[in-house]
Amino acid sequence: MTPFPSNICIVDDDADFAEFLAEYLRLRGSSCAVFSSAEELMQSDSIGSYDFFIIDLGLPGIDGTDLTALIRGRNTGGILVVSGRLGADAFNSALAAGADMFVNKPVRFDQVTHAVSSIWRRFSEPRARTETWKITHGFSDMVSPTGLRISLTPMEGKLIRKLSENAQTSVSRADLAQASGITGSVDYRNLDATFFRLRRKIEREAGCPSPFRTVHGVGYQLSENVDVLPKAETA
Amino acid sequence: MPSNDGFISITSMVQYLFIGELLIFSLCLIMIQIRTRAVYIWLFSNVIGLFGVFLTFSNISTDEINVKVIGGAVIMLSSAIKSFAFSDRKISSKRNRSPNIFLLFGFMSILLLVIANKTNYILIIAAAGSIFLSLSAILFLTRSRLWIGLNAAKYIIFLLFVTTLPLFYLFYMSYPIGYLTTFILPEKNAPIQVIYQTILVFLMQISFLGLVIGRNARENTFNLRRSLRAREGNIQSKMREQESAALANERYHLLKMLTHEVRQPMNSAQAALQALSNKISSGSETPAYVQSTIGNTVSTLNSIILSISNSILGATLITKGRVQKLEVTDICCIVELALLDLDPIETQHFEQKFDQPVMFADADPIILRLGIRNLLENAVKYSPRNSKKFLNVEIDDEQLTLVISVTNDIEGSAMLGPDIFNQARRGVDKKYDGYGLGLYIAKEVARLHRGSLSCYNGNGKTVTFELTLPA
Repeated sequence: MTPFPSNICIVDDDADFAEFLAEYLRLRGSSCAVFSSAEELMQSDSIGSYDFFIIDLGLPGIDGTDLTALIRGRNTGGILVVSGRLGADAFNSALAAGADMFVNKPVRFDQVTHAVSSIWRRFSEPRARTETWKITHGFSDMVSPTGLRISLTPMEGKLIRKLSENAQTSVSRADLAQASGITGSVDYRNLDATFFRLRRKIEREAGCPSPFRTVHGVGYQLSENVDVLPKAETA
Repeated sequence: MPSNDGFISITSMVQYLFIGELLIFSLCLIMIQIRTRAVYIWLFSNVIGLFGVFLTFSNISTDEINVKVIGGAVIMLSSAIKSFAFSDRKISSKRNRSPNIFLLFGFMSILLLVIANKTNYILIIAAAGSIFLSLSAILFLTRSRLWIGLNAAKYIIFLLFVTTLPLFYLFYMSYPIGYLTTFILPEKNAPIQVIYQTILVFLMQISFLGLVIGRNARENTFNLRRSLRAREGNIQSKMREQESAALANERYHLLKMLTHEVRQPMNSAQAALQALSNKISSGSETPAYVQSTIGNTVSTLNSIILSISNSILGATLITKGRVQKLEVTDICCIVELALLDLDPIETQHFEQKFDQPVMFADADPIILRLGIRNLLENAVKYSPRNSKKFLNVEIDDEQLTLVISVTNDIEGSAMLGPDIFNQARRGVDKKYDGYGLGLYIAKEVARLHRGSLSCYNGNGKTVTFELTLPA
């Protein structure tokens, strides 16, 4: 059986949906608490005790986005936002507040459990959220927030070194090509291919997205903090 | 003014020149046909000036009135009127306060000159009055917005200074009141003074012509610019009008599609539920019947949800054009969610193959889920019932993209026209309900993610839709 959170909190003012969903999750073996508003959850003073939250955005009183931010401040558990509110701004604000995923209603229970378990795969370890990416002193290995080690080729190491030297800004393809010695084409295809393969390798071995992103028309940029380990810790 | 020996004196000659000047420039002003307030006032003041010059010519003097002095006063009056020509229309506004005060002093001097034309004070009055009038003219010129930046205005100001400077000398000379008793300087200086005046007036008249023409040219430029802008605005608003008409039209079509795609299934679901309710009340329902009715109703609800989602997204795409922000998203998870959107019976006919268990790309999870769902529904709709279908997420090392591909058997290849991705195009009509918004939505979803949607025909037996995402 796929790993699944054992203590889930549902906050949704649609009482029928919340209760049916809770029943469905209980059948799967998780314990489930249902709240109809953010205030109710806060009064219960139990935010710290859950390992997963399923939250509706359109709540009476304190909004789901604010509640998400509030929970994220106190709990490293997974947060799935399930909402009927459509539109890019709704999902962007939820993700910015700290939600792990946004699923729009109408949604079936099997879809909710699927989303929950796919988040849980990545964040079942609390350290996945608190730790940052690390890279060994010689840029030969990367260590994911969950502690998984990904070995880098010398070329990949040079690229990551260049990105981490300019952590706050995007680095142009030309600069990256120069730093890594990747040549051969005018449109930096080889460089893009290297990043593409590195991304797939990181996903495969660490199960989480790579800590850099493409800046369209420019180059690449770190999207998360990557700490360079001091020499002693390399081993 | 004929002199004693039958020749006209230089003074008289220059005075005739002076009159000729005024007449010719007035004619010029009329000929250029610029009909502004300034021109009318200037012409009027030229007429007054001519009258004044005539008066200074005359030798008619009585014991009470020195006509030459009255002539001088009239010439000053004409200068005073010229000040008005330099001012703008809002003569009483705050910025015109100081020139107005000088002008008032000037008028008072003229009045004094007329009253005291036989006294010894005339020269000092005339000099002071002329200084006031020059100052007022300069101030009007600099404060009026009409002449900003025109070179002619600068020449006129310079000329006014040049005219005013000897007046100070005159003022100083007349200090011991009575030393000079006539308005026109002593006879020996007369020709020089008159020539000086004539030249200044000549330059002044030319400069005014320049001023008026410059102003006119600038106004024409302004008007041209204004009309150009107006025309531009007109064209733009017309384009906006057309755009919004097109938008309204598209929305109307979407609404029509929505009602068509939703009304029919709602109706059948309602009928099925009503039949079920009747059976239950008559006690003739069987568990199998209940099961199948509920299954059908759930599937109907599913299709309604798809229609509504497509229409909402379609309308949003039409209004917004593109998604503002994409987030790093696990594509595998979205694909699985989309697969779960299908009827549970249909879901199990899909064989999934993912190159990696997790693959991330920048995406809008809601829109991407809907796009993939449309591809899946399309596969279900156009394949033989219960046939095997394939859903793959592959890594394309060549194109550097993630490829979501949906493959299904087809019953005939007729439906694969080149326009299958367009709105409201459906290869095989009649047989299938609906308007075919699905592939159009899927195509738009691909475009919003900087990817593409294409379709391949496998030996006429299968069809594959590939949605690529840059990753």
